[in-house]
Amino acid sequence: MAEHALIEKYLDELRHMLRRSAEADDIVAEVADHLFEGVFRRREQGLALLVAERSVLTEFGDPILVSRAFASSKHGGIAVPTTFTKKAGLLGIISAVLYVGATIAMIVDNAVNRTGDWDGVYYNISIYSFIGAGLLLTAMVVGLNRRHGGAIGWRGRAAPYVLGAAAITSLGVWFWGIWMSLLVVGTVLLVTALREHGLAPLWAGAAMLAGPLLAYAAMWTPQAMPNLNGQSFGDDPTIWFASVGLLLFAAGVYGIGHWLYLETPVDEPSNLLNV
Amino acid sequence: MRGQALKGHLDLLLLAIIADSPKHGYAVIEELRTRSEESFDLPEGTVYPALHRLQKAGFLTSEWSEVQGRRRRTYLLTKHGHAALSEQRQSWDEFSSAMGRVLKGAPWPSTP
Repeated sequence: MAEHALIEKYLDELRHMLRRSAEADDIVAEVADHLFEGVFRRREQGLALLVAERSVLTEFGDPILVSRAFASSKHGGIAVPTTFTKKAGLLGIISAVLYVGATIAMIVDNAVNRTGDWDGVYYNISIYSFIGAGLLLTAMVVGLNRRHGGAIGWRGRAAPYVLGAAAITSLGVWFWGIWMSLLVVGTVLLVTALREHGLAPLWAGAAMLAGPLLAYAAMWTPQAMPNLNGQSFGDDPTIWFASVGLLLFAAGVYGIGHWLYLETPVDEPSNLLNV
Repeated sequence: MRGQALKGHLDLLLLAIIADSPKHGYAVIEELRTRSEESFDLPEGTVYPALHRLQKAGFLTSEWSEVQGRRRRTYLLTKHGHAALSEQRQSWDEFSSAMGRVLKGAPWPSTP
């Protein structure tokens, strides 16, 4: 359609701006239909082609503004905050609180339960809080994916499976290596997907990523190393290292949950009028 | 009326227009302009993200067809959309009649 040079140029610009959106082809096809229909109607009214094209494009709006309206984030597709994603944000906040509680219980257990008794009250509080926190975190990540209709890529979609597995393995929190490995992998998947698409506060992603890496490193401290050579396979990481890492992680989870929770859902009847 | 003044009402207007019959984007915008007697004037490109948002929220669904060699997306109201529109129409009626009563003013003398 070389005769529609202005329209084609506009569509190329829009296509370029939406290039990371999973729905780019459909959006551009729909916009093309609108623009060509507009030109056709104006031509019927007797306007010259160039005048008709300019008129249609002026009324449609700048491609930058249009692409921004389509994607509330730079590359994350069409972000649709719903009551589901808001609830997911709330679950993320609760998850963060549970991670803090579990970490405090872990510290107390370490201080009072010198014999490493698995029936210790604080030990069990810690374990079950970690499991609950992990499951709620998984739900939050599912909500995050739903917000973008899966457009945040395979890492975003894989993250909840790995984080869910980490939540289950935290039942054996004593087996620090597997739990932390899964938590690190799941977090790396999630945070890199978020950064690639420019989603969520930067500090929250950084804290979420740094936390488990620090906690994982706790396995390799001089105090923990002898255990790695013995029968316990790093079961006793340096508690302060691990705790700081987990608290950092909790802060990151809170940041992302809070960001999701604060959005106005589009499917809440009272908010239907909000554009 | 500029786009800013329409803020807060576009979703309801779009649902009302599509409720009458399934429409593609261009027809929706044309109908919006006609029914408002050219009063509602906003960048047309901003209507499409709103349509997509309403579809993601479950108020609309869409179908693709081919017209004059072009792909065309037509929007239809879902059952959920009909319910939401009905609810919002009622809210709007209550709101606008209350506004009307206030703006009209009380009969003089209004106080003893």
